[in-house]
Amino acid sequence: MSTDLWEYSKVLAEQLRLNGMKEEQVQEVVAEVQHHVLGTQQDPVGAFGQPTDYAMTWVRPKSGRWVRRIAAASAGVTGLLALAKGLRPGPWSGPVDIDWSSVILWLTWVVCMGVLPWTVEVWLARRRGRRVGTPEGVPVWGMLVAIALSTAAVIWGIATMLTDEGGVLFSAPKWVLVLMGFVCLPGLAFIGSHRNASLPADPATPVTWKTRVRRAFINR
Amino acid sequence: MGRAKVREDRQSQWLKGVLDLAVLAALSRETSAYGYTLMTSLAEFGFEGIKGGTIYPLLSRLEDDGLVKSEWVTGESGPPRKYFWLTPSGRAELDSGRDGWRTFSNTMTKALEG
Repeated sequence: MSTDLWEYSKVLAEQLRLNGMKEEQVQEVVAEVQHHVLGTQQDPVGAFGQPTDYAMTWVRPKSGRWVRRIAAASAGVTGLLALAKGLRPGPWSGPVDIDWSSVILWLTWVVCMGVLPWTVEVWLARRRGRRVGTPEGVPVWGMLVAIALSTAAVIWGIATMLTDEGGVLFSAPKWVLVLMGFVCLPGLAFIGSHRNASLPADPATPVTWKTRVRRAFINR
Repeated sequence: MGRAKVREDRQSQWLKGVLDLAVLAALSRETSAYGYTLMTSLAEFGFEGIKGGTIYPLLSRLEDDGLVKSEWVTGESGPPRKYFWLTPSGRAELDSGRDGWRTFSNTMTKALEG
């Protein structure tokens, strides 16, 4: 089976970016593949392997990057919920009770908005990068189960909060919650899809006079 | 079946150990080489079946080590090409590798043939 070169290039670029490679190097790696395949007419998967595996030979993913991203998204959710609690009517120095239902709601939101989108996105991207040129049809049951479970958890969290059965864990002044909310809120920028599977630009650089001399006299 | 796999693995390990030198040697033969002309050159000397997925990361490592230099060149048609050439350090490394290989090869031949 012949694999579409441009599809391969996009998926490879996505894998390299996911692994944290700089864009200039992504351009070079992808252009090398394109040039090689166009010159030899080989199948890209046959010549380079699946994009996920080939990307790993260049740069291995750093787990710290993913943890930081999940932590930032989780902080954003925390800020949002802290503001929602802190901006309710009442005196600024007045205490706000944090009970179990609030904690459960926070946890479900952190999981659903901070952890799941990014991890599912990475998982799907890796899956794409291991199946270029192969027929579709493998079920995505794992993702569906995760989404179903997270939705159920959100509903359960909201229901728990509304019934207000949990005991108070601690109280904090409103201004503390509002301050915490504004500090953590920028983390929301890390929520959602950050997929970048676009084709990188060409890496060619202008020819310098040194190169012209070298080509003319040394490496003709 | 088991022994055949062992033999195949052994060949693969040998190749892994000397492929960088073979690439440096191919670059010294070619005046202006890019990825697949290097592979053609290697194939002419018996290194057939080496894939692009092996050669390009290796060339990048050699470049990081300062043994090879490269430059992207835009042609009149098609995607840009990356040309490689040896640096003086690369030539020195190749010379050193040749000496090392001769010594190793002689030692191994003696060990195998008595």
